[in-house]
Amino acid sequence: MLRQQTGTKDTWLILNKQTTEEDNLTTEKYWLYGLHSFQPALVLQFYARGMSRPQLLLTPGMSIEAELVYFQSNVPLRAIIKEPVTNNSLQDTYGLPGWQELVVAETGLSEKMPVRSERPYIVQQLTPVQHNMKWWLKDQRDQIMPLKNGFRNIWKLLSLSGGHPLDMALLGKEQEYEPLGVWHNGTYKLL
Amino acid sequence: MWNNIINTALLGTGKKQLTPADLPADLTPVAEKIMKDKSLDGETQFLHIAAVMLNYRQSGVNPVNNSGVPLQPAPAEERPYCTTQAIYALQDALDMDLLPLVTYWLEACHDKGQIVVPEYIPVLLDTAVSQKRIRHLAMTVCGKRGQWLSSMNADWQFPFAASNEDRWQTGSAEDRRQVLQEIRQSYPGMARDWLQQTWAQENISTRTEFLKIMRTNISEDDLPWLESLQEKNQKVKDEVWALLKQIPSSFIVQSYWQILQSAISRGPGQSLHISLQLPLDKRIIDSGIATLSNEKNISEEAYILFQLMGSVPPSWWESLFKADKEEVFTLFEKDDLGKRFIPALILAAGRFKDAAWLRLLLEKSTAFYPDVIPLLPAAEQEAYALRLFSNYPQDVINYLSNRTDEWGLEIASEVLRWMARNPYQYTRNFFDKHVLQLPPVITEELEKLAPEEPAYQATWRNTSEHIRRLLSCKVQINKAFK
Repeated sequence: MLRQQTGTKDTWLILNKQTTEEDNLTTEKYWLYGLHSFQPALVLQFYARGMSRPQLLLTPGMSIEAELVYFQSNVPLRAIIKEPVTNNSLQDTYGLPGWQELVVAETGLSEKMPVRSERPYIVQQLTPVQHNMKWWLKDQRDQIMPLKNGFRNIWKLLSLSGGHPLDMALLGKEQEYEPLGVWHNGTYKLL
Repeated sequence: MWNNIINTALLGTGKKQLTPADLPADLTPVAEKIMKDKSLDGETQFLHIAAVMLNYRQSGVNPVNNSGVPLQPAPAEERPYCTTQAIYALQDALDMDLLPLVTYWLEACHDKGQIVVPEYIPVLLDTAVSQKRIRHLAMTVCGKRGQWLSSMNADWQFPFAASNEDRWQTGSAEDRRQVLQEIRQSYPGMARDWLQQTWAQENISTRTEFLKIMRTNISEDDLPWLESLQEKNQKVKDEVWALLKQIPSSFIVQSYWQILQSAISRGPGQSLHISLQLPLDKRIIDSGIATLSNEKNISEEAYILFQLMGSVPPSWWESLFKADKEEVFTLFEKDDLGKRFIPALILAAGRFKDAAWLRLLLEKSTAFYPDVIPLLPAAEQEAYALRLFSNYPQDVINYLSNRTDEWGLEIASEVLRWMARNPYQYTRNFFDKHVLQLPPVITEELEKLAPEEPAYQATWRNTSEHIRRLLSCKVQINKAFK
């Protein structure tokens, strides 16, 4: 039983939540990031239409003190939360300095598990810029990576950035990333 | 390279095969190893190569060395951000999808000299796309960042002029209407000057609309310009007449008074002498005095007198008869024909904004005159409306609906009590539209206003709950911008 194993205790930032519905089944994906362990985690909750919502309610934009147990994997991502948890507001964390560090990390993961899904990263000081008629994110070294096609909150992102760099929490893999949230004036704002 | 793989998969390995030469040099050793393994059939070899190629591609991702087109950073803001409390209130109003509350929030924020936080700019600008009336307000509240952001999105490019004069000279029709109304309220002379300057370029529709706006704060000062206008279009002419008829010193009102003085005089004691021989001239008819009445039991001449009486200041009768208001009233009331002219006195009191005459007339009236009561102070208006509510519920509710300020508790209670018994006519929709007029203290009374009929009680409970939610958001906005 996963819950009986020892997990990773940390302060986990809840970067964002994505909800999808298919055939009357609702899936909630919570993207988490360990403040001290620098590890991402994905917590899933499922419920069917008509069912009452599950008890564990995570608030995107906040952080929790909790112990997470990862499902077995070469590149652990999915996890469950061992109760109980305490809620705090979301704090600052160290992100990767730029895209170079991120692609190196991605290559490392691909080495261990070539076929996998997207995962969260935190990258410092990114600025939205235009290139070839699309929006990209530029890091401190003037290197750019494309924003995922169909990213719906571009205007909110631009408004928060105002053309200035911001630390961002991103979700993606390979060559497409979408921001989950940004740190703006010291506060984490969801996108 | 990857397209090559896709094409091979689509065509089938029978028609097209991969060779090591097709792949990047790095992968040649691996590819050769796979192709040499004869225990694998063509398709499996292809899949192995594709798998290796996939990971090669994934692992080889690099960011692009290009700084892109830099964005000119947004200029710094000049005004402070609103509080977090204010943001919660805004989110509530947006969640309830209530334009009146969102507008109320925007006005409160603007009046306090604050701006909204950046993450709410897109949603406010989007709202302004479909709601023209709040565009100027929304742009102001979105500050410098809003202007910066909207320059990048064609949908948000509302022409935004900073000064009132700019808005008048270069704004949209709606903008010009709004600014003229604002200026006419505080600086009526300036509004007239502006209109005079652009008059020749205005079309029929704008001339008509703007003349209507001139009704606010109409005065003698407007007379020279109005009397100089030579309009050809009937609609515009009608508006000019409507304005002239509100200025006592205008030639037309003076003409009316000439006729009335010769027709109505004071007889001995408390009697009135009314002559129906009326010397009319063309200008009287042109000014909108009708000669045919649709009422059966009044003669043409009496009908004309009625209209003339409604078009001169009621206080003039006091000097003519050398009597005070009460006596003048009694003189008309005691006369068989005269008493039928009393409603005309009410119209006249409204037209010439004589609150004292109005007070007297409405006190004695058993009919409801919604058009004139705005002249009285709010408390008196409500007392009058309350007195007549049971006989004219719909009319009173219509009058209340047109007021922009909050209703007093007493009248609000009466009205809601009545609405609770008419749930099909007064649904949540009505309360959504009139949230700004409902006094927050009414939430404590809602239970007491419940209808007696059991069939309506459940509905009233739901409606009350909804009203509480609306008012709670309004109170939040008030507190946030105190």
